[in-house]
Amino acid sequence: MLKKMFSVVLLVVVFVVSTVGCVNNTNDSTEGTQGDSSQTENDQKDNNSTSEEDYYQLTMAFIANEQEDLELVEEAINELTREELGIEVDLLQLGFGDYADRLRLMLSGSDSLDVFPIFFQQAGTYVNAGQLVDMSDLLESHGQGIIDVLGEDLARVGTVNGFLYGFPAQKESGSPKAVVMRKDLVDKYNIDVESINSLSDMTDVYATIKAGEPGMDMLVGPDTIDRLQLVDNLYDYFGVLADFGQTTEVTNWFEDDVFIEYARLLREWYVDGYVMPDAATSTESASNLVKAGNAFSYVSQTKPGFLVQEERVTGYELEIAQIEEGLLMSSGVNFFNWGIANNSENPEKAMEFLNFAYTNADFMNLINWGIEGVHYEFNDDGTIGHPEGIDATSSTYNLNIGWQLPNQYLCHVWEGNPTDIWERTQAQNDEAVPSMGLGFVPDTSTVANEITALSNVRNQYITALNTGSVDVDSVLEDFNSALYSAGLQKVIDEKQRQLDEWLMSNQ
Amino acid sequence: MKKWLPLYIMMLPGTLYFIINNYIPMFGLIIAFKKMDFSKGIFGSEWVGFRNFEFLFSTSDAFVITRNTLLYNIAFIIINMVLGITLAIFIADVTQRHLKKIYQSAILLPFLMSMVILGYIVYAFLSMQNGIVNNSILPIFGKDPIFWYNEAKHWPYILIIANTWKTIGYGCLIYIAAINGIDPSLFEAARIDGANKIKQIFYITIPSLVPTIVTLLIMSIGRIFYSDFGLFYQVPRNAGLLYPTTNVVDTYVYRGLMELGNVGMASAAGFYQSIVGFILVLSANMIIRKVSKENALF
Repeated sequence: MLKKMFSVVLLVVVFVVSTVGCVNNTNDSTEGTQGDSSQTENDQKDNNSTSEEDYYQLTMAFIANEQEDLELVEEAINELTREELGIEVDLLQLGFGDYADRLRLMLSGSDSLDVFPIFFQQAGTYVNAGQLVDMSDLLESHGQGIIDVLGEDLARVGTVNGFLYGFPAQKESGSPKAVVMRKDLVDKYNIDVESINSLSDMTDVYATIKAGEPGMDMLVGPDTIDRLQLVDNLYDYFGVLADFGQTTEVTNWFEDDVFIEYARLLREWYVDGYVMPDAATSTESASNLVKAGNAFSYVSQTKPGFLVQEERVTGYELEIAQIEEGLLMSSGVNFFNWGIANNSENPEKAMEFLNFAYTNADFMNLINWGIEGVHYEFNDDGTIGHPEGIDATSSTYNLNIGWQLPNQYLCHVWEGNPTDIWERTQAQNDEAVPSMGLGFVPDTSTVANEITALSNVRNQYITALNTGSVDVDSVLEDFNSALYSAGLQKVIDEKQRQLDEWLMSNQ
Repeated sequence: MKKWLPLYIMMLPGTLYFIINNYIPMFGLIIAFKKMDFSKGIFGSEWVGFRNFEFLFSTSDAFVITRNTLLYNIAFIIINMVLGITLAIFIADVTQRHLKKIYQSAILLPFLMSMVILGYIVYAFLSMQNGIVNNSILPIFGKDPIFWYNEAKHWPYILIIANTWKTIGYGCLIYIAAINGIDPSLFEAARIDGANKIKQIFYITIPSLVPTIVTLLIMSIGRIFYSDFGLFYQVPRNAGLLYPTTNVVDTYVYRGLMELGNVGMASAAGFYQSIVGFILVLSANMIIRKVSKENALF
């Protein structure tokens, strides 16, 4: 009786709860659609009202911190674009923390979105899901300005499987790599910085300084070998173009002689006490460790204005010795690319707008720095800074995301940077060595399982090898056999196949 | 019927809570068998069968995380029980009231501490550069410094010691309460019969604790396939080289979801955890039922 009673009650409860759940769900969904439809109605109203003036409403998303005067700047931009392009721009600021989720939702829904920056690791997913517009033809018809700015090759560098998904932002792409050292110690021990041309040249330097400063860490940072960018990583290091990208054969980087050589060098240093013993588990950034006063050097990619920036962070005067040339590879160039969402009602207008964004200095300055006199003022040397009485915390508009925006070379230079920073950046990119795979973007959607397993394996070993924390010979063997059992060969073969196809079609 | 109605009404909130919180989310298990596509939603996503499980078993990961989770939890259960009872007997025999209070509180204090803090305490001891062990303790014995965070072989001991230090107070407190509940006349009678302290412990205290021990045991066995995430993630400082001895199901799922961003695969690992855990609880209960029927869970 009791049991029966219990099961009856339970059944009733289950029934009630599940129906309540259903009712709620249906309510939610109808509410949702109602909300959506009313919104679309609003949108349509907007469109109707503007269609009288013939302005296309274009939504441009970007990733930045929230800005108080966004609407003010938007209006200023619209004055420009109404006249030049016959469109009105709706600026949509996404936060750094949630941009990926918000973009995913917007792209999968019917939100209005025209142009937005595409992070290189997500490009493949978007393209496979049909969420972007292929711009190959649009570039020909409406993108002459972009071709002029970037050049034919760079304009087409964001192509995956023949699908042109985005144009790279103008930024430092093939940065040379350097050892950053504390100047006071360099001077104290008479180190000849000019004579340092490779990482191995540092052995003698470290020996000299370690002898005089026994308690000090000579080299800090958890990813020294990765930072040297010695190969085209083909997006994830699972199958790379070795030999500084000067080959078309996809190989395993972790069996490469160059990698082993550097891993051994770091191991040697670790054993000799040059590398910070806790490097593999430290969560502090290299520049913070230098700031703390107990570290001498770290390896970093550099760019014009880099020394000023690092000296400000570390609080020490620094010297840099370049040890590797810059390497231009797809994953670096395509870091954030500007593309057109499939949601766009008028991709041609969107393309015109992108073309405009890459070529119009007034627009670039407005969106990055705001309105002159309100958000920035000119200094005597031609650089710009906050207006009188305003600083970084009280500023109402200062995006400062030039590295993400289409063409920061057109922007005014912020104070503290060299006035010819863009010439120098461009010169640096021109000097960089292009990888033979530059422009090739692997599509790894067919080997997603393998990539996940491989990432797990890499996470386990890479930091230890990068810091010399383990005996290279025994661990490398384990590492590589774990990689192969996680499917490395399959990924290499797939990348090789795609690369060969790409090479054929680009010859 | 009328007689039981109030009881059923009292049961209702708890039942509802269970259904909403523990049963309805179970449908999420299907994510493990789907190629999750956010634009299509959970139900719209494509079925992929067991493909999400492949990555687990393509490497030795599944074996390692299963072994680690089980062995650590078994070690924790046994050590916490033996040490907890020993300490409880000692503390219960302290006659000075205020000292007893101090001991009890002192042993409970680490239990109230966050794992992040424990992680830093362990780091203060074991840091390879500034740690107390490498700089002060090992030199006394003339030993070379040990690279604690690079060598996986030390970690079973470190984690067990750290966990014992942190969690022993909780069980100990329950045992002390149980000991205090034993009828003092039993001890009095034993003393008159000439039983010494050791005999009293083995013939009165421990037999009286058996129900408490079994309850705590079953409670821990129910969670034997769940591991304390903080202990296995914060204390080893997420050092890759230590994965062979520190990677457990929970840290594995976390790394899968947070760092690799694959919902389907992380769900597959969670699904695997549920299934193995379910089998273990069932078999543990079966064994207990064989040994002593009235103590079994079901």
